Amino acid sequence: MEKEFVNLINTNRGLIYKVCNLYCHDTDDKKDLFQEIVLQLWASYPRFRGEALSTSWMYRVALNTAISCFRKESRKPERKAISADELEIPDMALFSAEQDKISLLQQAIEQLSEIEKAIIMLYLENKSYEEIAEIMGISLSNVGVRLNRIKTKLEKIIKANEQ
Amino acid sequence: MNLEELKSVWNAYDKQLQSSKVLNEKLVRSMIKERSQTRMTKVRQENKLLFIVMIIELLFIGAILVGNPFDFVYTSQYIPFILLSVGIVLALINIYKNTSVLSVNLSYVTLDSFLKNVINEYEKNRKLQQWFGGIMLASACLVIVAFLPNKLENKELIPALTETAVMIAITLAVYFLMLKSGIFKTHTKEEFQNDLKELEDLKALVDDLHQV
Repeated sequence: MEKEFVNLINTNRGLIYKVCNLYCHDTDDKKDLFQEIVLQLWASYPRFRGEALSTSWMYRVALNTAISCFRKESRKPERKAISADELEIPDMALFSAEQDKISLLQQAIEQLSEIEKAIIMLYLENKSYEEIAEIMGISLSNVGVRLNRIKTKLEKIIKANEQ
Repeated sequence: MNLEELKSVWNAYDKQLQSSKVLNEKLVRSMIKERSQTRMTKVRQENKLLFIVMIIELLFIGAILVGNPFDFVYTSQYIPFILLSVGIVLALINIYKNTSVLSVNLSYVTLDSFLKNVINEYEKNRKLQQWFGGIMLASACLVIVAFLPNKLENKELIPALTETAVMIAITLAVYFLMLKSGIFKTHTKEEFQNDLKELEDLKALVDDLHQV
C-alpha cells in the first residue's frame, strides 16, 4: 500500500505544490504544509483508496488542510521536521517562460480570501461546477455566484496591477 | 490579461510542476512518521512519565512508613509523609483525568466540543494543582520539623531549632524562586486555547463559504 501511495503522491505532486504556493509565502511554511497534506492524505488513504483515481479526494484533503488544519498560529509548534531539508517545493515565481504573467496571477490570487483562493484554483484546474461544489461542500448555485464574483474581482485586480 | 489567458498561464505552470523532481519513497515515509507526533501525543507521553514518577514516589513513602529508616520515635513524625502521600494521590488523580480527556477518539466528537471539553477540564484541574502545590510545600516544611526530635538527641534546643528554621527558610526560598521563575507553569492550556481561537476563526470562514 505504501508504494501505491507514494506513486499517487508523485503523480499528483503538482496539485500539492500548487496548494502550498497558494496558501504560503515562506519556504519553510510551504514545506510544512506539504508534509501536513501528505500526512492527512495518508491518514484517509485506506478509506479513499478506490476514489484515489479521481483527484477530487486529493483536492478536498489538500484544501481542507491548507484552510482548516494548518493555520498560522497553530502550526508553529510542529516546525522543523528533519525530512523538510530534503524537500524542495518549486516556487511559482521561478518559472521563467511566462514569468510576468505568472507573477501577475500570483499577486492577484494573493489578494483573495482563503475560500476564494480554493474556488479559483479549482476553476483554473478546469474542474466542473459539480466537482467544485463537491470538493468545497457548497451548492451548485453558490459555486456559480461565487465564481462570477471572484472572476470580476480578479479582473479588477489584474487591470489595476497591469497599469 | 483576461481569465482565459490566466487559464493558459496556469496550465503552463502545471506542466512545469509535473516535470519537477520526483519524491522518493524514503522521504514520503519520513514525512508521515515525523508529522504524526502531534501535541496531544506529546502531552499523553508526558502524563504517562509523570504517572510513573509519582507511583515510584508513593512506593518510597510507603517504604519509609513501613521500614522507619529515619528511626522515628513518635507517630506524629510520620504525619508529613502521610500528607505527602495525599498530595501525590491528588496529583495522580489529576494526571489520570487529563489523560482520559485527551484519549477521546477525535473521529467521534467534533473538534469544537473536544477543545472546549479539554479547556474545561484544565480549568477544573488548576484548582487541584494549587492544592497539590500547597500540600507539597507544607509537607516539605513538616518533614524538616519531623527530624527535630532526632536532632534534639544530639544537640541543645536552640541550635536544633535554629538549624530547623534555617532549613525551612531555604526550602521556602527555593520554592519561591521556582514559583517566580515560572517552572510550575504549563502552556498546554494556552496552546489548546489558541486552537479554539483558530476554530472560531474557522467558523467565520464557514460562514464566508456559505455566503451567496
